[in-house]
Amino acid sequence: MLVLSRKTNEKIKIGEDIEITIVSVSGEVVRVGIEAPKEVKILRSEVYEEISRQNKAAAETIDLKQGLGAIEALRAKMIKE
Amino acid sequence: MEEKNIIIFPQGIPGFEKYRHWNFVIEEEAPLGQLVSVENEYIGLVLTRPEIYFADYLTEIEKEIGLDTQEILETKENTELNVWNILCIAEDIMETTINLKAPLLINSEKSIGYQLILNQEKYESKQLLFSHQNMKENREGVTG
Repeated sequence: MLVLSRKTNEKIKIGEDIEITIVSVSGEVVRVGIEAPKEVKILRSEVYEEISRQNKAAAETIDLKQGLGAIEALRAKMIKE
Repeated sequence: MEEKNIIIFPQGIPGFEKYRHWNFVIEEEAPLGQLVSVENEYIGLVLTRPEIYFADYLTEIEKEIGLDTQEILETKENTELNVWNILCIAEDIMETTINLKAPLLINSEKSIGYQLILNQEKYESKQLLFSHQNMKENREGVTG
């Protein structure tokens, strides 16, 4: 991993189109500004992890036989509503 | 009768990146759908249409459908995207949660799907599906 030291308002350029700005530093929190083309998806890494965990948890609930009963109950409730 | 077709997720689905082909079955009576991996039939997800319980949701997420998403889904100007959200079903159905943070977008015309992760903080990956009001009525119904 390349590690660079930067001060507030200093920037880092990645390739032609992406520019990172250190907006502010306060204690443990660093605010980072990112300029990138619209087709580049920017995400906090832990958010992807959270969705990944949640997807696995969702799949597990219907993996179990008892889960099928729960789906039946859910179906009945949704039809009623 | 149930509608059945195979949707390709070119990016995979987070947590199941290696499974790209999913069998998509839409139920007719209830607003439910199921996605079952073609490569591993033991992996399945239950989905619902978000607009039934969260009225403004579709308009809210539309602004987050960027060029990156459109490219993956191969959408054209007038392509209609179907939006489904994954349910985490609890034994007590009132505890069932919906993942509003990461909707599944499906281009039915091309059979391509993508799980978009929203940047908006207001949507959670574990949102209770049934409102507290509904929950109260239900509990009263049971005891009364």
